Amino acid sequence: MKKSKTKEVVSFSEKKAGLLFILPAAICWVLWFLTPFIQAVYLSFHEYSYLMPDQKKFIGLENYVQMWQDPKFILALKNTLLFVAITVPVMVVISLGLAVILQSKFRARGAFRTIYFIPYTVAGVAVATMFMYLFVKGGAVQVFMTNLGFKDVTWYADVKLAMPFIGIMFIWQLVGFYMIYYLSGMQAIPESLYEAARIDGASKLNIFRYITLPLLKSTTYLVVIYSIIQAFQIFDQIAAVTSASGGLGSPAGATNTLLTYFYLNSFKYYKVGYGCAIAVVLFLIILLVSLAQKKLSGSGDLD
Amino acid sequence: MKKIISRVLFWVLVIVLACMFLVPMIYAIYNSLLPLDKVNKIVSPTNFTLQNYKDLFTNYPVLTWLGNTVIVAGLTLIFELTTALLAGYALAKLRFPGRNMAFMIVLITMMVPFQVLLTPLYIMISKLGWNDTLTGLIVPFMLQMLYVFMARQYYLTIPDELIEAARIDGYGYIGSYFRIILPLSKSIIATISIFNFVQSWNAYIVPSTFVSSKEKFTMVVGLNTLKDTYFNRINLSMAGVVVTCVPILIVFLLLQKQLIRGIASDGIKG
Repeated sequence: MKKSKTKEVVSFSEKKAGLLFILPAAICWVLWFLTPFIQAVYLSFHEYSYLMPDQKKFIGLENYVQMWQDPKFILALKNTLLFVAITVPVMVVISLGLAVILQSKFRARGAFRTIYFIPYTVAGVAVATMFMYLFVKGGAVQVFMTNLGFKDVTWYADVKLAMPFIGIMFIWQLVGFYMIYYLSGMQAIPESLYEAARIDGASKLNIFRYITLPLLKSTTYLVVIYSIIQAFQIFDQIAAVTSASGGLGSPAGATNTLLTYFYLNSFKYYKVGYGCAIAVVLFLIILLVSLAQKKLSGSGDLD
Repeated sequence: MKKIISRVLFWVLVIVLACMFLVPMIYAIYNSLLPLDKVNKIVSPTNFTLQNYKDLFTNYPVLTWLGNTVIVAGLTLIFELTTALLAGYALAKLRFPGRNMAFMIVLITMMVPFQVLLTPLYIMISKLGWNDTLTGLIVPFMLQMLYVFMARQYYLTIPDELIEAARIDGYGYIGSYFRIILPLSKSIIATISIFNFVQSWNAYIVPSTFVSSKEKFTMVVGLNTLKDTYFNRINLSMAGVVVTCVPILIVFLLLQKQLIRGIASDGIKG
């Protein structure tokens, strides 16, 4: 934050103007963030159902203890962690690759950047709808896959393939978005560095390895953190894919994540308190990831 | 010779990648134009028909869904812009007691995944009698901290001298914002607008949870029920996909510079 060292007298009207300007946001924050947030934490210590709102029962930490004995929760946690662990590195590699391609100057570069970015603007539900028809038994992608010798299956109905299917959609939709980060990171690298390397006779690969890659460290860092957070929060695609068949998590819990399991408990099983406890756990995980980012990137980064 | 080959390979790569991103959408448009007995086959364009779109608009309240989405996205945008610009300006340029704390709150709030609030918001909305209304999709979403943060970062780049000059010209702190600074805020307004529009147009979890009757659906929720009810009618579902995506695509192509600059400028969560 830029702060002038000399202390000026803060006039009354500046104070008043500042408070007035912040007021609409402050009111909304108290009403629509602080209140529900406190309530979520509060409910996570209770047994509560919308059907019987009068029978709210305080049960302490029981919801938090119970989840570790709940095989469905354990499966959802495993699915989520596996999803994050696989999609994030793939996302980083592909988005960096796309940026490297688009960094070289060629005709219609802008048009290709737009094309690679377009999936980001498509609704998750629309993506799921398109991909379901492509990956259904006998669908266009499946025809191609069977020609390559793979079995003709419906990806999202298969216990082993359902989550990879979600992962494919997730990556397809967001690589273009993260490519933009890398492109802007690359723009910040001074051209003189490349020139010096070229004069020294460095190969393209070495230039990439010893100049581009190290100087993109902070960009990679952002991409990793943000895609971790987004991977933890994937929901729309799973909901759209499973709403026609067995509901969230189908087949057989294979697509349950922390978020979908939270949703099921809160809005389908009416175990609201338990649902809130799962949401709080998700919050704590994301908070840890965000704090790790703040710590590693240094607090000066914020301003 | 080697140069030519690598040039060709480069173009093949660039185009193949473009196909990976475009094919699902071309596939959707293509099938949406075909009668059911021709879908998933390569046929001549003479078979194209708009019948699926006609069916879609006559059998489903698609216009209502589109209207609802425009109302929700539009009003949310107006409110979120107002809260974000004013608070962002105060945090960047006006000294008031508690400013540092307020900024800390902005940063901490941004770390909370929104879904944590879903259940309590649902309970609050029900108590207020707003469940199954568009009001319930708008009022709780008048503030988004990410946009406050973005506005603050933008206003930090405006030189203090400009505000001082306005003050010397006799404007008060409030007057100088609306007369001098706000007209300079076009690019941040465009950036927030396009981000917000993409987000609220495509939102699913909130509208599908807070709203249950068909005539209150947003387009995305409508598309999902359409796909579930008539999964065997791929051409109809794909027409739904096209209707859902085209408006946002037009807005994106018009404002893509702002969107891309917004992402690139200061590392924004998507």
